[in-house]
Amino acid sequence: MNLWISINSGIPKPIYQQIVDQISQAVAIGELSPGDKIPSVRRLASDITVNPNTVARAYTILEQKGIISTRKGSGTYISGLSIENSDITEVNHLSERLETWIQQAKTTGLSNDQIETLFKAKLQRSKRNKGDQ
Amino acid sequence: MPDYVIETNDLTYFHGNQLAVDHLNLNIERGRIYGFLGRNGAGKSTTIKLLLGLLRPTAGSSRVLGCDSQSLTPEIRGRIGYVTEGHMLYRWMRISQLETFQKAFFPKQWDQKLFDDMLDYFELSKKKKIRQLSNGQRAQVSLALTVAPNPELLIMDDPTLGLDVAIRRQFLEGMIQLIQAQGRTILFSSHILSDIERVADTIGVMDKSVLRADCSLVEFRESIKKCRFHYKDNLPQHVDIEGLLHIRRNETELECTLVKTSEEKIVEFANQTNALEYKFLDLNMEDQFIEFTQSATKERLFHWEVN
Repeated sequence: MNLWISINSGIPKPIYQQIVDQISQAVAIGELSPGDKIPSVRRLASDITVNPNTVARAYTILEQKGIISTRKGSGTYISGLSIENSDITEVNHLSERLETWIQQAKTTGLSNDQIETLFKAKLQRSKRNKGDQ
Repeated sequence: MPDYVIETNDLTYFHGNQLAVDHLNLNIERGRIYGFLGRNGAGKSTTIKLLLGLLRPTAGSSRVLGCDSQSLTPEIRGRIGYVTEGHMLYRWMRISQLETFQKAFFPKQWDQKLFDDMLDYFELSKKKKIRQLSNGQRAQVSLALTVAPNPELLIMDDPTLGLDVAIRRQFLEGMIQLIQAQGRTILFSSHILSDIERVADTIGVMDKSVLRADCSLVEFRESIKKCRFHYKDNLPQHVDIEGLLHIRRNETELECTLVKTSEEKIVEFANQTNALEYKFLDLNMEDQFIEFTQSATKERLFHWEVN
């Protein structure tokens, strides 16, 4: 499972919000796809050393946004993500970062084709990694 | 009806003629990790000692696991784990001797595997004498001894005081593991707000012997805000907003710390006082705690002249 959540306690953003944002982001950039299973509340709580109620709160919000769904007796899965479901500001932020990255790539001397190839290769690799598991 | 593991009823205690705990009404539900906050001397440790019947209240009462704190039976005590401030252990004993000693109090419920696993995890040899251990290692032994009897209620008084980050994290992990078992409850005090934020779901803030906040952690995080109003020049002389804790001002700006103030009231105030704009400042939990507990009137401790 390609789910790396890293919690930073001590910053203004509440922990449940950090979990919501990181899972939404992972879906938005394709690290997680519809159908992928994510850890149970108890499991994630232990993995990231966070109160289970905090994780449960994050999952409830993600469920309300339609990003995850829980199947009784089976587990919690990514159900999909449309732009309106995701946090718009996060998507904007990612898009800005991509623009900066493209600028940097051009400054380095890469052609448009080369940039496209590089991007596709990376995306392909991230899909493959997921297939491995 | 909620299932309260700890209930206090106007619990009050005087140290000599000094008020240490003032009409405390605290209810902790089963299954919670309750983070007990307060500055030094606020009354947290005294409260914990009162709950465990180690001190006799001047007035009021408390119940733990349904039993009055003043008459806790051995059976009830057997269901409570207590980690004291400073991890008091017999210094001349070996870990193995302490184990035998502690186990004797909990013959039926002692989890030998858990105890051994924890020592393994901490890389502690049972042959070691307590006086040979570092502070952190003593804390680890103390945690293992307290958790091995599978306490239904775990009370820890500033358990991570003076410990390094790695050992602190082990304590937090231990708390999360323990709470996952059905029906467990933890009450712990700490000064490290980022730790509390990670593991607690409910918090209480003691301030000068009084319990000033008792709510979910999310509610605390959402209730305390700092808002900065910007003015052209005419700052309002009199500031009247619901939930105002304290204010700071300079020539053109007014900074208000607010508790549970609705956005409407803030907009209303901004309009009434002709503010050009206002914005919320980002606060982490530590900032919020400091804002909440600092006295309204005090000036800064000192002022550096920077040139």
